[in-house]
Amino acid sequence: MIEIDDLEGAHFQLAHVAVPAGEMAAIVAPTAACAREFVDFLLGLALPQRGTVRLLGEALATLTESSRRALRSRLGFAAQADGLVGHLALWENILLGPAYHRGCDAASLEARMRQLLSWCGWTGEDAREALLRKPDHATPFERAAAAWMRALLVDPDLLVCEDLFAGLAAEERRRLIEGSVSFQAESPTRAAVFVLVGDRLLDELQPTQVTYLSLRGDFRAESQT
Amino acid sequence: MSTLQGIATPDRTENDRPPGGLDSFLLIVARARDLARPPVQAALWQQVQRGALDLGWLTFVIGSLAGAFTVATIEAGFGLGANLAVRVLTALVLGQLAGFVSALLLVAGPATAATFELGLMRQHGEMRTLRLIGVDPRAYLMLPRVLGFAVSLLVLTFIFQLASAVGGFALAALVTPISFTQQITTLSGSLAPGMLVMTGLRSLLLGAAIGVLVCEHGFSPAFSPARMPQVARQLLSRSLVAIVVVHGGFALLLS
Repeated sequence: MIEIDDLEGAHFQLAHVAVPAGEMAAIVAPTAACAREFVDFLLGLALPQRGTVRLLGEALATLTESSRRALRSRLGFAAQADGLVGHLALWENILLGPAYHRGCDAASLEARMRQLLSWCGWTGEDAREALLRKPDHATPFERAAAAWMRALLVDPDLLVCEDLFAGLAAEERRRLIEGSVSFQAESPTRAAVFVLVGDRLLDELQPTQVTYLSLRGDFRAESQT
Repeated sequence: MSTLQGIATPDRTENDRPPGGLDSFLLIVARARDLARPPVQAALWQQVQRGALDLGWLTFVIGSLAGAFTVATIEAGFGLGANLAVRVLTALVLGQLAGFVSALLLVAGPATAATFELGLMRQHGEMRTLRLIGVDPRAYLMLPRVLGFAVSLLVLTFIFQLASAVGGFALAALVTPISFTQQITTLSGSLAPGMLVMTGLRSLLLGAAIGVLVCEHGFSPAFSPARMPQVARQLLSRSLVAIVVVHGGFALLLS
């Protein structure tokens, strides 16, 4: 699903990583800037200074902008920070991806959304009220769960989460991790990549593989930028 | 070469900035098929609601007053008769002032708000998020705004014209000897359908131009909260130029 070789960006470098179907990989970035840059390269939003990224069998550098966008529509991306559109309520954010890419099939979307809500243990009146809130008025868990549900609602082959668990309580992290495991268990062709800032959550996530990004240059200079 | 949070250089990063000018109009035509997507339709409706429906009553009041003042000034002020009063109202208020004032209202309120909204979305990384989930910001944000402002200006101009005729005549009937029915009869005799069609086309074109300016300023990498007053001034001045150019161009076409 993912194959990266000799990748080098402004903040980090990575010799090699391959994530086949069925894997739940963790990419550990030393800083939030590294995590963000890695996701930009992985999903083809930016091209690296050096190296190759193959996503779902396609070399991103050879694709046109519209082809890369079409490829991203087959993936699920979730981030908690800046991961939602501010002027839309949480439920509108959740439906944005599937409605944009696949049109509105209200019945199937609603059924799938109920399943996702139960997977992450977010049910009842609390969820109903929270879904009407704008992201600015939602808790970190509500934002993370909304971004996570939006990603899974498109039934992606690959789920990419960028620093999704920042600021969440252990119980809230557990619910999202268990939900992701349930999602992946539905089909052997699926894979998930969790880009983490720091490695303190690896024990909770229990990924099938772990890759560390190496900082480029002087860490002190890096941290001052 | 500038950097976005030190991460990616623009020449190696997907570009979400509209090309500007005529190219923006061509981009809108090329992306027209995205109107079939439900979120784009919802964004378009929201823009029309913010642009036209929220300003509808204010436009109606201003239109009524403009119509009443025109008829009352010519009839009661100069004593030149109902026929001339209605002809002047048709040529000046319905033909020119309606589009001009409606465009100014649109720029002063919804256009400035939409520019700030786009700029802050970019600042908060929301455009990156849209691209990462495969949503083209030019389809989801630019297309509904350009079309939304075009439709909004068309609707506002029509409301202004309707108000200056109906509301204006009703108010003028209170302060002048000309009856409401007499004014309407005179108007129906002097009103050319071609003029209404031309003002409609002009409103659509001018509204789309305002939408393009909104997107250019909102998508600009130079946007920042500290520069909001400057952005608002630039938007206003460029919109005024667009209003004058489009109105002048149509006046030349008709002459």
